[in-house]
Amino acid sequence: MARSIKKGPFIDQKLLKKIDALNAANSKKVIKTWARRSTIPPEFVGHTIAVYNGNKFIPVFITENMVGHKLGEFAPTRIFRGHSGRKTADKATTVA
Amino acid sequence: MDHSGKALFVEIGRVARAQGIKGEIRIDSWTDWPERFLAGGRIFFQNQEGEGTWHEVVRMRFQGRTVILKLEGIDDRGQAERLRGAVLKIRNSDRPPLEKGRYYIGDVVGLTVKTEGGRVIGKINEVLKMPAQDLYVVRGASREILIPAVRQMIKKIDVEAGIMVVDPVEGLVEDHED
Repeated sequence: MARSIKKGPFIDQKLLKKIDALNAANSKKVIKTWARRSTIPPEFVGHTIAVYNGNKFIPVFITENMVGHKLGEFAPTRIFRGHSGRKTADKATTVA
Repeated sequence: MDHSGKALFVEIGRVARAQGIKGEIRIDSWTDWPERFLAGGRIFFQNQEGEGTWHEVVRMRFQGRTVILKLEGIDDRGQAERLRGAVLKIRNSDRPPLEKGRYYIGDVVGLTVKTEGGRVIGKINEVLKMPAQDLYVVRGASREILIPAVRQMIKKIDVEAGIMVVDPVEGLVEDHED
């Protein structure tokens, strides 16, 4: 069942407070968080949040199209690395 | 390797097994560009003993996501079966350059990562595909540093010079240093 609209999205308040402080100071800094369940509000855009995946903190640069999603969606808890590094040689990486 | 130490060939797949009785082979593709296997192209097949031969592709087709090739001079199952396990390679120079902002992972791995101030952070060890953006795994002096592949942080990639210039946000690199 979906979350009640009446409540609004769940946003981790400790995280929001830190981001608001950065926005007020107009500065950028990596913020570590365990709040994978937190929805991404527009205030987070442009910040880098290190989201814990159960093993390490995955830095996620927040962009506009991530708003409304949960932080945990961008820090997978299982990473498939393939069977060997050489298999990725002819694949592309994009600097978004 | 050429004089700069760069590999002359790049691996694009491996022969999984023979297909049918007319000499076709099934390919385990390792490339983002299946057009590498198009008819008329020449591919170097290197077997597990390290010996290799060039073959011209006569026909390419898909079966689901599997690439099936018919090669010139390979006309029966026995010949096709002898290619099992061979690694398919093409010349590095035959690959077209990518559009701005895109790079071959094989070219990016091994680059030296520096800050705009010239401080060396480490070398790129691996590129991870993440839902948000690619992550460059940098092997620093003591630890692993993850840098998101976004323009705000990646200022310059010079494959020829072997360097990547980054402008990491506060806490991304420092936090990992002892």
